[in-house]
Amino acid sequence: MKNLHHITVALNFTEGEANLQKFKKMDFLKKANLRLLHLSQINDYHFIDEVDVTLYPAKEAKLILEQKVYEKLNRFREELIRENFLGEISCECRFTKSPKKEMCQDSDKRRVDLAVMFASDKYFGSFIQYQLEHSTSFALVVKS
Amino acid sequence: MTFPQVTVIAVDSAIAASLLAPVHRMEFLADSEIHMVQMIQKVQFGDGLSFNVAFALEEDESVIEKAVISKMEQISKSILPYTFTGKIHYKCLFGDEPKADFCEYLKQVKCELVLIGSRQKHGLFESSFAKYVVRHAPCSSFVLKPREI
Repeated sequence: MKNLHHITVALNFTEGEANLQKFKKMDFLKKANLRLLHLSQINDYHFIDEVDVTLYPAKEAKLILEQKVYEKLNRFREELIRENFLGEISCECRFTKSPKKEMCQDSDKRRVDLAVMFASDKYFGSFIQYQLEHSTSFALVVKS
Repeated sequence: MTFPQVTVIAVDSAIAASLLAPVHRMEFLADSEIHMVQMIQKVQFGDGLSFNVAFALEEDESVIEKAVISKMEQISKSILPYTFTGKIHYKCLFGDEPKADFCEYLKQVKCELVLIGSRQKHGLFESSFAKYVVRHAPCSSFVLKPREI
């Protein structure tokens, strides 16, 4: 399709295989440039004096997590290439305190043509809801 | 045949032409079977036993339906993809619960993709119809917002 050039695909991997199968059917995205984005949440725990802050995941765990996420994203990317997705496909993993805000700000800032998100048949969470309510970009909610 | 084989476009004829304008360039819908659907709410007045009036009145429904379909035909000329060769159906449905009835219709026609416009850049959910459909549709939903692509 001519007009959907830059597309961000938000991936959370909880229903990874089902998402992939559903996404493969979307022929109209085969020529678009896709950015596979995984947003991991960082939690900070403040102690009583509010000086000491513990972050989770901690630095070492974060590195391991990041590595795992990139492995999964790359696997997803390879599957798409095998299915003749011809546009550029990039992978990105980001850590943020608020994944939904980050996704929303990111797609508005980059002026993406379409934000793709996945939901199970009967349920979608606050992430999708937030994006639909606050982002200015078009949204495709794919149900597995 | 490619995805989506059956597409339903939710139409609000008052604002559809501008909001659904980007559909014009969605070439992937060129072979799809498209259903343009406008829901009209039936409002019941009465105690349910002795005196019941439902608006729109039954005798008016056919007139309203005719007007809505004519309007949708007009709109479709400006929003259907340039290369459109598929089938198109126009439906004006009356129901007590338009949102639920619309989702039921999606099931009936085995819809694979529903296109729905949200009126404002922010605050999709001021439109409870869109909110309901995205949540309850049995298929994937494409939400269009008032912005150029």
